[in-house]
Amino acid sequence: MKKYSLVFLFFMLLSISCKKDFLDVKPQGNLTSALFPQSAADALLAVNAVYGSMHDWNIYSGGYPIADLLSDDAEKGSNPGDQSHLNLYKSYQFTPSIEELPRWYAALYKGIKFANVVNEKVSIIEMDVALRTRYIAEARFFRAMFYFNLVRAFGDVPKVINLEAERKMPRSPKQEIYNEIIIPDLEYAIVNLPSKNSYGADDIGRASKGAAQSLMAKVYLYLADYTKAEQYAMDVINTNDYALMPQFTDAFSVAGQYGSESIFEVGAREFENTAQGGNQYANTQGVRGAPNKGWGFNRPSVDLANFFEPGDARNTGTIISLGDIIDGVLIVGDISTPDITYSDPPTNSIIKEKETYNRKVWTPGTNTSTEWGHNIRIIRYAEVLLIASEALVRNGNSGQALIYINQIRQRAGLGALATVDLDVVYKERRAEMAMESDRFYDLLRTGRAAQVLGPLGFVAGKNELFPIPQSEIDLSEGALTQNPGW
Amino acid sequence: MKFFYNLLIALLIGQSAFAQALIVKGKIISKEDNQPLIGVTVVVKGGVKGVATDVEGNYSISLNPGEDTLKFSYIGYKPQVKAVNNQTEINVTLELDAQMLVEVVAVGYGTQRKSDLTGAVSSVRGADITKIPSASPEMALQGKVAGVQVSSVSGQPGAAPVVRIRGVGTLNDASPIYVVDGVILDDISFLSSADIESFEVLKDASATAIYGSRGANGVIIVTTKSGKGKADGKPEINFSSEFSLQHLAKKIDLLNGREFAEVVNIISPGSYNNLDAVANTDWQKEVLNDYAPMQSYNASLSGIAGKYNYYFGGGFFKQEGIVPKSTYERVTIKLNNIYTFSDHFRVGVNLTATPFKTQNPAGVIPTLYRAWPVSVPFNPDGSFAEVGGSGNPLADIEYTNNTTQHIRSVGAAFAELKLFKNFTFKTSYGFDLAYAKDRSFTPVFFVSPSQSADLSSLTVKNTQDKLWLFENTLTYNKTFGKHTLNVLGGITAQENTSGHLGGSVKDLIGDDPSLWYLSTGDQTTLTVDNPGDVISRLQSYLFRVNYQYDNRYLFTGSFRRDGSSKFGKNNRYGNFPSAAVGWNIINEKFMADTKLSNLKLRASWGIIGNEKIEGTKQYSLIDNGINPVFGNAENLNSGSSYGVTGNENLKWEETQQTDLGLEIGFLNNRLRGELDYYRKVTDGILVNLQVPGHLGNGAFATVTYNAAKVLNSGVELTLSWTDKIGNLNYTIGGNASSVNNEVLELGATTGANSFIISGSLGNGQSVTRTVVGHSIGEFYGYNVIGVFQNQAELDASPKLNGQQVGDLKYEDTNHDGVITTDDRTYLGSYIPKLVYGFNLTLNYKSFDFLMDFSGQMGNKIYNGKAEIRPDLYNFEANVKDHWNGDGTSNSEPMPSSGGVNYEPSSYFLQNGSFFRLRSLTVNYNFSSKLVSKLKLGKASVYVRATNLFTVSKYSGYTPEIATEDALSSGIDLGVYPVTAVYSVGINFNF
Repeated sequence: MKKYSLVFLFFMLLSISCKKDFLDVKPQGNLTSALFPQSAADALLAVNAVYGSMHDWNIYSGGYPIADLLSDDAEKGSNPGDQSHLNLYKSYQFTPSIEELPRWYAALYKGIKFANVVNEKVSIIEMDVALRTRYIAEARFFRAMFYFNLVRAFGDVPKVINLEAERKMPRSPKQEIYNEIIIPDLEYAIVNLPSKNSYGADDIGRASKGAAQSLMAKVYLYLADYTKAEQYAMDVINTNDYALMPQFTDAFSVAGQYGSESIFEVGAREFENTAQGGNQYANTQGVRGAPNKGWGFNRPSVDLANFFEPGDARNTGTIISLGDIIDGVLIVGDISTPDITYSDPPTNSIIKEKETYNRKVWTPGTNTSTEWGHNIRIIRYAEVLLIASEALVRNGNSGQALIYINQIRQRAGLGALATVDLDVVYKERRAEMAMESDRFYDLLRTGRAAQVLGPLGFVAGKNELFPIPQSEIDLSEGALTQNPGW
Repeated sequence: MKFFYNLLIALLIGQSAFAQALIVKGKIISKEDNQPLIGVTVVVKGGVKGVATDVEGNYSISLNPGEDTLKFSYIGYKPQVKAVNNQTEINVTLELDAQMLVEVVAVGYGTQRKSDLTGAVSSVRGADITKIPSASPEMALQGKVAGVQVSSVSGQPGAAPVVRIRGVGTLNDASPIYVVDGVILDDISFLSSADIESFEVLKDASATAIYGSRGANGVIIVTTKSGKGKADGKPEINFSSEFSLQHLAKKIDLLNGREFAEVVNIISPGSYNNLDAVANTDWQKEVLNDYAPMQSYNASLSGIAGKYNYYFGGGFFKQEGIVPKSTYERVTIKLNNIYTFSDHFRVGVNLTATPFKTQNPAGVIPTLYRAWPVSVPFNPDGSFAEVGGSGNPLADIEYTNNTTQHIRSVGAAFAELKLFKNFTFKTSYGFDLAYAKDRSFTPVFFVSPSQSADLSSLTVKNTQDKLWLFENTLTYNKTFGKHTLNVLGGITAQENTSGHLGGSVKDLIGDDPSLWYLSTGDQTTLTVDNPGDVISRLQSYLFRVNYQYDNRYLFTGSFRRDGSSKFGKNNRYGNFPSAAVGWNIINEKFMADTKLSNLKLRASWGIIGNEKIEGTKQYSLIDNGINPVFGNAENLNSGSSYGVTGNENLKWEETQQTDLGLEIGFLNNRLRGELDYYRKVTDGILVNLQVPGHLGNGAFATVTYNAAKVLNSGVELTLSWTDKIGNLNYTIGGNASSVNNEVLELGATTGANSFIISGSLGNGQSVTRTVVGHSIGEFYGYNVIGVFQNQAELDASPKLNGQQVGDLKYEDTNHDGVITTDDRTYLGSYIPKLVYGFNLTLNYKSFDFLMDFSGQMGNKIYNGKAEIRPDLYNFEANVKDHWNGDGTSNSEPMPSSGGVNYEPSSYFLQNGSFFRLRSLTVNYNFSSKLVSKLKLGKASVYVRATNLFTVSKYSGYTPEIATEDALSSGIDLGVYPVTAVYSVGINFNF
């Protein structure tokens, strides 16, 4: 009996001896926010993640180039039934609950959070001060860009500038976002970022002073402060760090990656997942069927094809047609997609749509993974020339604007013009920037949207802004208001 | 055998003759059926001498002078004592002992007499356990236990059913826990039904609160078989084998080639100009096997050898599916041993080892549902043809190669020690080890541009899950006078770890299975999948007291304190008390003259908890792999940043449950009934809520909150009647339970979320909403009130943009004259209002005839597979009755493929009620003469049909549509068909 009692004691002691911290289980395989970032190496990881957010499919307007669909440049594409809800953008019948908007909105704020991690946490890490400052400047460049995309699309939005955001936040006026975030962030970036050429070979692709200046020029264009727009655009031009690529298509090609025209682009590798550096942006729009097996969304419209002047290299540089041979590869297209659809069946005299694809995301190859390697060009020197031209014209210096407009036209294989006015700049801007999600905002900015897009369904007083996603309004329980007209 | 007895008797006679003793003979029969009782012990009272009755119930014993009293005893019967008084023949009729018959049921951390229970506990045991041919033992509970809903949601080999006890109490995983011989588990797929002795379903708080944190969704206690003594001390050996054929119980009525072409000609005029020339492929016939075999073999050997109680079981189960290339193959090895060293000390071990293998089919059901009947399966050259819809299902099957090999071992070792007086100490170490190796290979193939692979690819994943559970309990048992007291205290600790290492590679050097390794592919495409292990721990203190006075007044009180690593330091511990009382009115003196044989009242109250969430939800984790690419050389750089925000304030989900029960028996318990009312209020439900986008967690990211309060209440009734007419014995039993489910509060503790959107169809559309005042996960969409018959009606009615004559007419629920998303409304629930089952057992001479029915009423099914239509797919036959001009149809719109008629709406909702003959068995028991000639104990053969017929209006394969996700259940996205099964089997033992 006694020895059994000892057995009993043994087990009782064993079970009581469970350590006090038995229930403290560290998460495996992940650090927690309390422990990161702490070192210089962490700081680099944190700033890299801000760039990494550009591989998030949703950050490009929820995956699908809806700004192009809303413009006169593009049709939905793919085969008719595929993602047919995207036609609701085309017809301006989309509602605040359409699915791209919340994904896009959330992806932009996720990027903003990553930037805030650097701004708030890296700034207190003890490390090389110059490097630390550069990291913060890189992050703030992104934060400005993300907020610029937010206010351009949604207008007033919640202002999140640190990691302790409230769950219920009202919208801040977009002017406040410009004044307190976008402009100060870009000013900081311009001062503290190195020029494009001072990055080492392995750091090419990081945000540069030129990128920040270019974005600032664009921001002021949208704020209609043409003096400042001209000033920042000229700053970029005067660095002489940039030049147009001789061939228009090389501004987008694999060979032209990080070329002289590239001010800011998103590096990507040919892997069908983001952790390995892939980016699905081009796959979404790539040639459907043979050869690329892309999804084929965002199809250049007949209107766009007809818009180009004869001989404009940007026509075939923007639009892929069936039967083209590009980089030695025959474009066959998709069997299940009609090659041509007509507006007036069965007479079939008016072409509504042709099976075409966006040349600006073209990657040579016969499988999808090559498309994941496409580097998206976020800011090109051509755009800076266009910003400068517009600002110069508006500021009364058409003579200098003409130089830049003609640089662009000559590269496109067109003759030089003798004079330039705003209409000329607008025309060149459409031809140059088509299918780059710019046209819709540009029409809004210049007050031409109702006139140009009215026939497509654009409603003045409503479609100047996207609606705040319905799910965000529901989640905010009254803190967020909807845009007018929605 | 008889020879042995004769010899024994002869020897006894010889001996007694020598001793000049008296020889007493006699026959012992049972009072119930006048049948001889075999193996009755006959002993001389006060002495050591004894014999047992033979197969005819006869005994013979020689008595020495002075030995004048005999005691006759038999398990389950009241013993009798007879004075010899020089009689030479004493025949005895033994009577069943009502006390002994009283069921002993397993409860948490012990057993109790059913009459002593204060909680709602239901048992399933005996032949009922092996009645359904299935890899899942829990199928035995279907239709058998009031308050338990078991849905066999998939006919895929090895697929486990979805089990719900007393409604849906939580928004996440609402499955009960299983306690297998003391080890707490989430599933029992590793067990063979043949090795199970009993199921006990613990439903109310009094019964489940001892499991504290994990009891909220109910507890199912599974007791596996242990050694049973035979009178002669020899082992009992059992064999059973069964062979079944599974057959598609019901086809979905889809359009044939010509009908499809006619419908497409309406959608796109001129598509098919010669309707006589279109092909007609019946894809269900083309793809699904007519009959798929299933086989099951079990053998066991058990017994008691002195101090050693043993059970060895072995089983083999193999099921092929009606979808080609889907199989499940399982070996079960079971070992239950107890060694009793002394009255004070015993040790035991319960072990299972279960290697099993699954071949996982392509998700081909949606594909064959969508496939155009005008497409043919093969090209003239024999290759797979391009098939309209979402591809060629036969090619999907051909090019999908996915197998998983599992090894699972569950067991526990225990030691039990009687200490001092009345104390028992038990220590037990349980474990559950699961290892799975998954390989999935796709070769290079081309059927069409959208159904092809440029490069071969391989994905592998090795998963390892481990649980250990260390429990120490001390029990005090004492009876003094009319008082019986049982007190239990214990300390337990548990750890769960799961993790995996996997990877993928493309462009393998060859297609042969011998080359399906990561090393054979293009190494530049290698990816590694090795997230951190998920670890969670629990530490608990438990206490329970059962008190019983005079078999009349019962009281149970329990308390458990659980600490979980899933919650932050401040909310780590939860306290789970319960109290219950019972009154066995039948044992009161004033009931002495009643015709009732049982009358008992029970009442219980308690709080139980739930912590079924991922272990790291309290933490804000750092995400890795947010990697940018820099440099002309396109170098991959590592990036890490803040992931989804954690919720450091997470705490236990708590369910307060009240139960009132009445048990009643008439006519010596020939009529038995049990009635329970329950009310469960679950507060602080752990739910993943979408959070505002500006918090930066990314699209549709969710954070776990204690965010909702849900009520489940209902009534459960069980009735049975047992009687006989001549040689026909019969039992009719039935049970029914009602569930009322209502969300009481949402987001109260988080200050957000007035509703939860769920029920994603995977195409961006969501069809359920959870909101206060409705049940969990109600279907949400437009209410269809007809079809626009003509232009005048269209012009005069509120409508969606783009709606035409012949389209569905949606109800303007807010009467504002336009149809907007605000007009979507609540359309019904997937939760049945009533779940019922009944069964009939007939026994006539050597034949047994058993029928089990089950059913449910009042639920809806969302036919999601009909709605998802990004491309042109085949249609169900209802489309044939489409609107075709004013007054033709007010329910079926003009055919279309996508667009305004494919918004979530009541058009896709169907009645989910069904009534099913779940099982019908005819069993023949070989006569005892034949059996004993063969030196067998018992032998029987049977034929059985499972799911023989189902009465249901639902158009899909099966009306049992459920998922583990309480927010998104009842949506049919193309389930693997549940089959009708025809079986023959044989059981014998010796």
